[in-house]
Amino acid sequence: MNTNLNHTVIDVATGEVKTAKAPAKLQCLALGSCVAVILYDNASKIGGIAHVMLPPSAHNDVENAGALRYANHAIDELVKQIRELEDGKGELTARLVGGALVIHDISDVGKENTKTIRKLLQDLGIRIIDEHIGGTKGRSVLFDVGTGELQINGKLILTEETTKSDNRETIVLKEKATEFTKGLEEQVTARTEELNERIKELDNTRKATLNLLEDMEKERGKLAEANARNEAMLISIGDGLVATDVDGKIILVNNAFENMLGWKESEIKGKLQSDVMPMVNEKGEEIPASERLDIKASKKQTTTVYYKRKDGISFPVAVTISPIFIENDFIGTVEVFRDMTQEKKIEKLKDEFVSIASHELRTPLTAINGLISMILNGEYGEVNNNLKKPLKDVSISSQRLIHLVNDLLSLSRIQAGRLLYKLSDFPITQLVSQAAVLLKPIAESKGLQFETAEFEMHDVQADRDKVEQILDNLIGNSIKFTDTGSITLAMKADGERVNIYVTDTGTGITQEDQDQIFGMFQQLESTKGGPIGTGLGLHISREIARKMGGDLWIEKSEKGVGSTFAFSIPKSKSGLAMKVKEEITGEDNALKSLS
Amino acid sequence: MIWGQEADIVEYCMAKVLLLCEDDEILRDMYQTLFKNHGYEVLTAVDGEDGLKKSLEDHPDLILLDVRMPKMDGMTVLKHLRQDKWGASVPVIMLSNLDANDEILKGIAEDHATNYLIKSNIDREEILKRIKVILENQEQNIQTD
Repeated sequence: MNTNLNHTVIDVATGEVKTAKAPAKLQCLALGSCVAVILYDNASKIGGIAHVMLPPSAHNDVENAGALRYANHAIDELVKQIRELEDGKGELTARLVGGALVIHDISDVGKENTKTIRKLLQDLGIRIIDEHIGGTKGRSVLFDVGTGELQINGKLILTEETTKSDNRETIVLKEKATEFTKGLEEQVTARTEELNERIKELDNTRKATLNLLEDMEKERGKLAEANARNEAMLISIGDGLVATDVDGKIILVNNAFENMLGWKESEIKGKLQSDVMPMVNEKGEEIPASERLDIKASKKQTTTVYYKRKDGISFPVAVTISPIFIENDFIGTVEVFRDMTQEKKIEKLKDEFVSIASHELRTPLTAINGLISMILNGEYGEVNNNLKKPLKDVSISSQRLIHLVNDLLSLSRIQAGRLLYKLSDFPITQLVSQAAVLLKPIAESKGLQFETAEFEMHDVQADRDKVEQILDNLIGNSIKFTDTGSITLAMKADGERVNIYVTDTGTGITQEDQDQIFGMFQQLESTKGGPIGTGLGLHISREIARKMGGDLWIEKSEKGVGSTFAFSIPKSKSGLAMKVKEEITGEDNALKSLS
Repeated sequence: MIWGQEADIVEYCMAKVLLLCEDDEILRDMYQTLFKNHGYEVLTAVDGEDGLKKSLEDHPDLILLDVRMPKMDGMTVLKHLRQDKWGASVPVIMLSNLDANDEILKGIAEDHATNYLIKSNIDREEILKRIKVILENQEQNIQTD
């Protein structure tokens, strides 16, 4: 047990108990919460140290090899060893060093150990002459068995005598100091915890920021992908596309643009769009910038014009220009245009077909109808009575066929929106009078009175020919369905419109039939057996009247009494007229440029 | 149709000369018969060039002009007529089998001031009445001038 080593410094490690006789030194290095129990017999110069680690407890497993780590076992062993070395039974004194608070988690170990050790020593009748317990710093102890001198961390500690007299006070002071220190330590701990919290928070913030950055990076990736996709779409879109800035300078064009106009993006970027791609009409005349679509208008606009290619050849396009606003600031436009060459060709073919069909169908029909009518009227000599009925039937059928062809052609044009309206301002009175002059003889030849009521003078805005067509239709119907009595024309201003009334004393229309008379191919039950029409006339007339901003309706009609049909057209210069003009002009321009 | 009315027309129109420009033989014969039966003297032309030539040579009282004709269409004939001192005021009835809404017809009506436009489906009575009305108006104009 290292007892006879002169001036040898004997290390007492954790859980060890070592005893020595003078001359010798015992040392415990780096005492933390462990307590070095130093027992010394001054008379025989024998001493020993128990390096105690843990206080005794119900859970301590004393059978373990490390039993000496426990205060009770270690002190028992130390006392036993000293007594074995001693000749006599000198008085033993005790010094306690260690029990520092070095590990936060087991802060109580040193304190608890010290308490237990004091109790054990008291029970054994061993007096404690010096204590260096507590604090937060570890200690190293060197005990000289020869002199009884104690060094802590290389510093010589007061002699036994001095310490003896001060013992109680010192202990109290030390305990107070310990508590003060502990208070400080607690503050430090609390502050440390606070700081740790802060650090944790900062760390969280940092992590969050990193996540955010990562997300942003991902979003940026997505955006870049979306951009690439959009760009790919823009570039590969089949219609020509050109984006311009606030000054009308070209920012971007797509592949279709390049193919259609023959310009490369690099050649025209930054140039004025109106310089690069002149807008021309069907005759090849340039449309001045002032008449081009107002690009700064808040809504998207569509028009049909011609664009001139790089090589000077122009081609028809349907253009849609959309202004781009960012927070109400106009920043430029995006224009998409479609090559209408094919459509124009097809339209032309269709027009030609309609034109040829109408001509080719009507020429023989006109001949049949005219000739039969002449035969029946004796233009080619007396007609055999037996032939009159069948010839009349042929005549009726051929007339019906002519009307049907006419109406179908009109209808196909209306439905295709290809009826051109040439609006002008003219006195409606004049037109009605003119119609009266032309149709009066026909009414009178049927024995009907033809009257025109007093007219107010009004200028209207309409397509003259079409108003004439409506008048022809209404007056014609009246003549057709009236056998006796009169036909009267009248006119009345009504707000923004002028109403024209055609009143007859004819067959009249039942309420039931009035509801369906404007439908297509409506041959009314009540008119069966009477004059024959195609049932399209009223439908067409009403469509035309409505298109020009008016309407067509039955003012009143009574079976067996007669009917009043009316239609309206806008007064010239009225708000309604302006609106209609704007609509029709826009459509007509589009149509004209296609034809 | 009352025969008495026709007799009046025949009487009234006795001296009037109509020029019928129509390329379709059947229609041409038909109209010719009709107008002749009603007392008009009828000259005929088989195409536009023929029509223009005869118009300027014979100075008819009224010209019936088909729109679609070989060599020169009715519109062109009309245009030439209107540039002629005599032709500027001669009543012209355009005969057309085309739809009245066709842009061609609009052009005739607006640009060249056709007096009257008659669709080919107008029946014999109406075409006779229109000719009568136009010639009467012309007569009145001449008298008041």
